[in-house]
Amino acid sequence: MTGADHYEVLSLPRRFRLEASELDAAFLRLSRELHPDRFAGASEEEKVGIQRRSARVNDAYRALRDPVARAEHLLSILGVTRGEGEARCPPDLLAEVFELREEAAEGGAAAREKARGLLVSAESTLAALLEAADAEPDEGKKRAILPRVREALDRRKFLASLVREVTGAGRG
Amino acid sequence: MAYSKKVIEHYENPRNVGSMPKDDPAVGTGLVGAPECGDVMKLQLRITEDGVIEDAKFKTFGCGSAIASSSLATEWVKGKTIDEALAIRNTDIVQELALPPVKIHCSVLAEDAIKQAIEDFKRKRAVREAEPAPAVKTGA
Repeated sequence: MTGADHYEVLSLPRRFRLEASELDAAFLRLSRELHPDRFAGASEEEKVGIQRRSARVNDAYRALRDPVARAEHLLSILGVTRGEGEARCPPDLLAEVFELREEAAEGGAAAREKARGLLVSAESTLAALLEAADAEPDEGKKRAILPRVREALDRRKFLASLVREVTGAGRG
Repeated sequence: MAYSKKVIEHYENPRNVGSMPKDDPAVGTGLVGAPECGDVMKLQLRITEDGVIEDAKFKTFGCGSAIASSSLATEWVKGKTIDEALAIRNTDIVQELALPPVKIHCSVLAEDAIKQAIEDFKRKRAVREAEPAPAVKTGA
């Protein structure tokens, strides 16, 4: 990442949970501020600079609007990785996902229902952790929550693709 | 997305699909996954006392490239020594299967699966070697 992160671009606090209204307000304020009409008389160089800032505002808005992408972004700003090789997920999580995939491959409405139910509960677990991380005033204690956020986010992603798969929504 | 001929070939005719008992001391299991795409890959190796891979099996839930990468990995490691298998790089897989940039992570998974399977085997072997000879009492 070069320069300011998405939160900085929109002058928003680094929280996992952002209200749609505060995100929209920040975006609208900056869009107005950077509107080309206001720079009609500016130099070419200045105009290019404004266009560039404007593009970054758009990128930041798009990235922060999606709660999952936002959480990924904040974890990366905070330097929370998956550890070793970056790609390694906790073995328990992988074992669970693999088993669910096997069950789902055998098909049946039960496996589908189970996957859906697990996704719903994974989403609420994630939401609770995000809320806890945002609310924690102590830096050290907050850092201790982040690896759990990392894992909950990965689990939610795995379950979301599982649900996509079993409901036959296809894949990208 | 257009898959290369080799990817399609492995996808339609995957080699060495299956599994081995993971508690078998001669079997090393690697289980890897990528949350971004939801793929999970299990790769198992049966390794002799001399460190030669005599059999390999895989089971992958994922896209065509992930299946082809793991299928190819099992084909390549069979008959190799542990060290030879550890020398396989994901870039070799990318090249062989002509994977596009967006599918490079599939080859990374396959390389990582080989490494983890070998690590698992070595861990089991170390535990076995550390086990004390039957009931030798040490003076307390």
